[in-house]
Amino acid sequence: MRAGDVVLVGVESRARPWLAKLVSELPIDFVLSMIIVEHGPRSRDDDLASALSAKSKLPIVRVTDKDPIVPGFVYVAPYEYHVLVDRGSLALAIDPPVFGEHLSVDVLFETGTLSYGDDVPKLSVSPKGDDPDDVELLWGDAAGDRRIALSEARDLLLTKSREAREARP
Amino acid sequence: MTATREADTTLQSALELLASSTGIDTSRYARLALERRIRRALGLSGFTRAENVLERLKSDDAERERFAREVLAPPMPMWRRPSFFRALRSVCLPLLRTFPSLNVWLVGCGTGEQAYALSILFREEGIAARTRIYATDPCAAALSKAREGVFDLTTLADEEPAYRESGGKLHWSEYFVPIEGDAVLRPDLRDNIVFAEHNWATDASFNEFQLVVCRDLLIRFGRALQERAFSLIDDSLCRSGLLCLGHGESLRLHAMRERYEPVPCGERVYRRTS
Repeated sequence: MRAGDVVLVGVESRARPWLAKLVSELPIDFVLSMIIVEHGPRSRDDDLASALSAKSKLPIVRVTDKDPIVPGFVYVAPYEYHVLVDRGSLALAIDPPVFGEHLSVDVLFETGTLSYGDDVPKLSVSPKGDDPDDVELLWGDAAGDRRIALSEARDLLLTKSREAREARP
Repeated sequence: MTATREADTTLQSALELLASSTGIDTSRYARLALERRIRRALGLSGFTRAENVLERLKSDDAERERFAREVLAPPMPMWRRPSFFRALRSVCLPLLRTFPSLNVWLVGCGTGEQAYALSILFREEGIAARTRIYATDPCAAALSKAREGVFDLTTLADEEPAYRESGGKLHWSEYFVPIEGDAVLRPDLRDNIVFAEHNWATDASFNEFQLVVCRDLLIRFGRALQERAFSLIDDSLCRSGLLCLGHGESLRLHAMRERYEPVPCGERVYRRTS
């Protein structure tokens, strides 16, 4: 697995509806592994994995420790754990909160970069205001961070997926 | 020296210091998480001043103990994941009551939070008199703190909502006495707890247990050490005994999974079937 096979996503809980819509639009032949950490206020029983499963064509997996990263799977961090990308697999940790968050996007992005290098794509989703569909997107890779338009996110993911498929031996 | 090489050297020095001061070999621990805990315990965001901290640790026994505790046995909320304790009360204890006495192994008790939570729960459910909790950890510094039963008052007081959510039956403050900013747990909570040093990496099974609680410990290990720890648990759990893991852990990837069935309670609880 290389940087181009994985996409890391950090989403603020209020922007969950937008993320659910994005994930539901990913086609069945989408080959990237998407690893999602949700942060911000929500209850322990409010399960992102179940919310995404309802509409996704892709398999949604609530991460358990040492899960191998499989192409085309969407991985969701479980409540109260940090998720660490450890090359071809995912590890969990229960270290104290980072900036008040048990589910730290920083930990995901940092360990993802350690495993795959700066080129691993990172998408941050946060709401602009009270409207959950009005979100701000930040795309990061080796070229640096840049704001992208809502419509661009889906196109970028599909392009990366196509490139990953074509790069396969 | 480049920053990366300097970081690697400092990390190696920290690991050697840990090994020499505790006798615990961390070479089979999950490396990424271990590095993060060391960085945090050194109190630095990077490794730029870490050499100075390491020098201080070498000469200061109390600081070295604190460092060992933070890296090897990080503190845990006493009622972490209240739904687990509710399931323990409502689903697991009815199954366990069929045993004439209960030997409970809390693997990796660290500084003792979960041992006291279990002691409270067994008391409230009326089975403390026939229950013995063996709370073990390889980290002597953590065990000595666990035996004291003294916690930060604010941290412990903040556990009240989780205690209630866990099915707690009394007022939370009945279990501790505030003394000078600390919370001293009621001494009788220790009556049925045995705190003992035991290393999952090197020691053998030491008893037969009806309940093994091993939550969020195995995530600290690499695969080989996980298999070793699972095998040790498997050797120690009686038939129909229960194994409790953290909700981010699973038997799915392990060789012993066929001897266990999940207990339907919404938590990672498994019953040994053979």
